[in-house]
Amino acid sequence: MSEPSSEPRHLEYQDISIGTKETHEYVISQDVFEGFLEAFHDHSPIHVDEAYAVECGFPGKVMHGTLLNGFLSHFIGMVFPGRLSLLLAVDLRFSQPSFLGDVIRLEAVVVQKLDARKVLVLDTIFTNLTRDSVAARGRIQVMLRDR
Amino acid sequence: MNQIEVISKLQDIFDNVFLEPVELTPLLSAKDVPEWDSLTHISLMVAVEKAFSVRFRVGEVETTRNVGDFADLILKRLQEP
Repeated sequence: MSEPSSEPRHLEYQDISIGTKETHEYVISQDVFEGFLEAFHDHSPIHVDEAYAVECGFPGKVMHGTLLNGFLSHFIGMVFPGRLSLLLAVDLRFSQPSFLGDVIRLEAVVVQKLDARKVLVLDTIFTNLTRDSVAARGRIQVMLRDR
Repeated sequence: MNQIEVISKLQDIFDNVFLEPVELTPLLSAKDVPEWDSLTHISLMVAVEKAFSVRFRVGEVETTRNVGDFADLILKRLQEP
């Protein structure tokens, strides 16, 4: 698993080219799960009631899909491109549910650059390494500020 | 390709980018479409550069007053070697 970074990277628009690929790994830990519940109060039983989730055919509580958006936010602001990033658009499609303790690898590839506005288009894939499945795919637009 | 053909292709792009339907005419401008804000404009530019295989220069899209001007700019970029 990737170590959590305390300082955001500093990449500038011209340093990044089409095809650049970056990855980072995250764990859906108890702290992440509880922090999300504390912040957003989505206590729907599929997310918090183990017995109910099993009754519904899942192996355990289904983690909130938008936890992946939280990982994405960390990725964009801290990992790639880092401190100069301003997230403009996120189109995330969830494929398979994730569960408590799962390890998620986020991989992003630069597929387009809009030089006129210093905007990167990233294709992202969230791979659930614990379940050997794709958790989500997405297309992201990020603007790189000058400072 | 002429302006009408460019606008026809732009219509498909607008249909994908905007949540509400927008019927393009050469005189339509951003101020006529509430959803056409600065962030949507960036999504439009991203989609247009990809669809037409053109690259805009800094600030030039902002000089266009309406869809007709925008189509003319795309035509100009398409005619570049």
